[in-house]
Amino acid sequence: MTTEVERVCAGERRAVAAALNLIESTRGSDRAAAEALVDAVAGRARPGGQVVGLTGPPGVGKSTLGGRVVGEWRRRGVTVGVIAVDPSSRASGGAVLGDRSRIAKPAGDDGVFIRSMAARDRLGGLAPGTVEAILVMRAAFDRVLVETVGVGQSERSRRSW
Amino acid sequence: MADTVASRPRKKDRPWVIRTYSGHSSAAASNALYRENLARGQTGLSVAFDLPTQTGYDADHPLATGEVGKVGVPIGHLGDMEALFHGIPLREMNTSMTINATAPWLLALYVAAAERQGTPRAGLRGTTQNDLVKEFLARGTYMLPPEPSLKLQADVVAFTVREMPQWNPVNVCSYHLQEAGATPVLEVSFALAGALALLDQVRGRADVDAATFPEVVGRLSFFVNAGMRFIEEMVKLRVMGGLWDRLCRERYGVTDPKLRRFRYGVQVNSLGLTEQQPENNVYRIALEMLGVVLSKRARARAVQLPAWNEALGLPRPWDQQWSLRLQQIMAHETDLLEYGDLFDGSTVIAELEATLAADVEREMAWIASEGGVVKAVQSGAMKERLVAANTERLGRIERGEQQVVGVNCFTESAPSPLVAGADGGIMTVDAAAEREQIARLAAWRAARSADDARAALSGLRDAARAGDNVMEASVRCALTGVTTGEWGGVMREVFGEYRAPTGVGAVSGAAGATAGLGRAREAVERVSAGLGRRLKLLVGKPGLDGHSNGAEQIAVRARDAGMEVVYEGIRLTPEQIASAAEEEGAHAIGLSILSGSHLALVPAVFAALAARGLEGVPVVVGGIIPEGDRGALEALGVARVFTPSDFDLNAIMVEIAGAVARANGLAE
Repeated sequence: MTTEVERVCAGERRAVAAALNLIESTRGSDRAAAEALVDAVAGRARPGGQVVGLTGPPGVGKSTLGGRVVGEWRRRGVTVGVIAVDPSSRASGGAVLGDRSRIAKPAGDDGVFIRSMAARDRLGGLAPGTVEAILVMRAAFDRVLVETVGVGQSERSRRSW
Repeated sequence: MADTVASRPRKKDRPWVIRTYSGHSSAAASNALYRENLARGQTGLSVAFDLPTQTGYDADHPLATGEVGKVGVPIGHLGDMEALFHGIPLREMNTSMTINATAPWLLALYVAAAERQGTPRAGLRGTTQNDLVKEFLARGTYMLPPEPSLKLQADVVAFTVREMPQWNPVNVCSYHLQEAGATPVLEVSFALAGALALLDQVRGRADVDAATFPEVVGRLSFFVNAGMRFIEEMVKLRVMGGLWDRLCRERYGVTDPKLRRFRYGVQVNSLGLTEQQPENNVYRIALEMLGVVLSKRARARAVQLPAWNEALGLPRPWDQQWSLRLQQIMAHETDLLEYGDLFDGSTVIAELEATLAADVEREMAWIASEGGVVKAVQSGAMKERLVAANTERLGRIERGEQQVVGVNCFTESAPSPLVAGADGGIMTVDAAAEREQIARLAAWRAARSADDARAALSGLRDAARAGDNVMEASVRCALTGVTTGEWGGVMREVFGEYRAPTGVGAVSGAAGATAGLGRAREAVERVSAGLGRRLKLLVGKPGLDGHSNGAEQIAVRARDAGMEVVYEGIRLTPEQIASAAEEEGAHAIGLSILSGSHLALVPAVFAALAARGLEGVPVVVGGIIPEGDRGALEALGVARVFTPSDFDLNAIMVEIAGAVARANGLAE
């Protein structure tokens, strides 16, 4: 566990991805490991780090703004983690997680790490595990950007599936 | 004996311009093909460009890997353009160029090549497709955001109206909308709305005066599609003509009826052509053609027919000749061109027309209520309508409500001798074509005056920044040896790049309505439970191919089957796909490739995955994959190859779930 925590805190991409997979796991044996990991990284936020949230209904320009902010952070040489939350289908439990496409990520730039999360059974707002994911990303990257459609916004009639 | 009807001499109408959409490998190879086609009686040329040329990249750009010379001819500079038309006098040609984002540049190269042949601009006849709205909605070879894209479109219009009065600067396309699943209502309304957006843009320009504006309207032409329901298609074109006439009169005050004429070219439908029993496509193409030639009042000005084997791969010269002969037989052997309009006065047709026209007007009002075309492109509202229509269409085929012979009915067949040959019945582009094109490009760059090219590019940059028309500066660039990638680079630098909305997020797949979805959901649930996390699928489109219908439908159905789907849209590098798979913790990757570049791109994706330690993630590939290439992909480690014959999307979902189960040591 300690080596995993150290690898996450060093911003190692594979370790961050594995940590996020663990947080999203519903397996009983994974839950305890996930909680231990989150406890360990919770106090390890990068010095001077920031977590920024962007929320608003679809089409208002969250991703466009987010893309510009990420670009500017990268120009300043800081590493960035992005969590993009999309609504889930109530009928199937599935989800299309598309917003990462709107965040322009320079080709070959491993200083940006984008993870999409499905809101699962919650309407809008944060996905289960989002807070834990923020804690992991906060330890791994200098800046964390969280993008959601906001509470209530995913209930609009167009998303009636 | 009484005079029979048949013996009376009749004056025949002149036939439409007969073309074949073609080009491949290199300018020299395409030139040979064009000369052959002209010798066989083709009356115009239709140039297909490769994807790097269409998206403004040089052949040696990383994104061009595997795409050079595949779906069309690579044109990197004036030398290529001159080689393409070597020995073909441009003053006698009527040339249609399927070019959009880089239309100002390819037109500049054409003008420069003609100038060096001694043909003045005013003597040139032809068409640049130059329609960006449908690129954002359906075809995907856009380069810049919507607003500057429309501005460059208008630059070509303003330039040609002044300098090249016989040129059609824009072919407003409904063709690709139908290929993306549009119903006739969507096809007509989206195309007309796109035409209005462009004309509104041109009307406000300083370099087009009010007196010239009716000429601008008169130069606009259309490029449509025609499918198997040929009566409906004929009605569609009659309605489009009527609505266009009225819009020109009422919205733009064009009084000369000649300038309000609905002029269109057509490529009949490829979407309905089948991989199964491909010989049947010959009948389909003939029937589809009826929709655009039967009614004199709505007859096409130019016709291009696909080849019977387009669902299998790229057509060979003989396949194109076979389609060309169909046009000639229709025009010269039948009595079609001897009569006036056969349908004026038909009550059935009149009723169909009235219904369609009313639906189209309702749809156009909806686009206006969404803020007009540019806004509705940016918000994804129009794209969502298209994806939903295609989902509905495919659902009908899957459920057997729409019958397709050889696909979901009458599937028993003897082996087709047409695909029995060593080439599998298709053309393969020589892999050396890309290497040779890159070598020619390097030699070209070395031979030109670098200072002159730099100065011309700087002039182009200044014109673009100042908001001036970029055409004259582009012609200067062409004459000084600037390359396609350099021209595209300046445009990207000044106007920025763009990724269009994918349209898949909000589409309802009519979940539950499709038989077999339950089985797919069970499989996904079972595997997800075993994984401890919902099955996550990354859908990726590597390369420059912008035909995203397949990827979109897979994404929508995977969502409906209960997967979490990450779909980033078109034009990704293998490295971007591998990086996304890592970040997202994807359990499986689905790649969609229709440009024929799979043998270059799939290995590149595998290499990028291996570099990130992701060898264990199963990869499935879908697209126009010739049977002969299946083995090579499977040997590489591809879990499953899907082609157009795999129309049962639920079965595809079950297979993806199975591949994930096997890769993770779970029971299927």
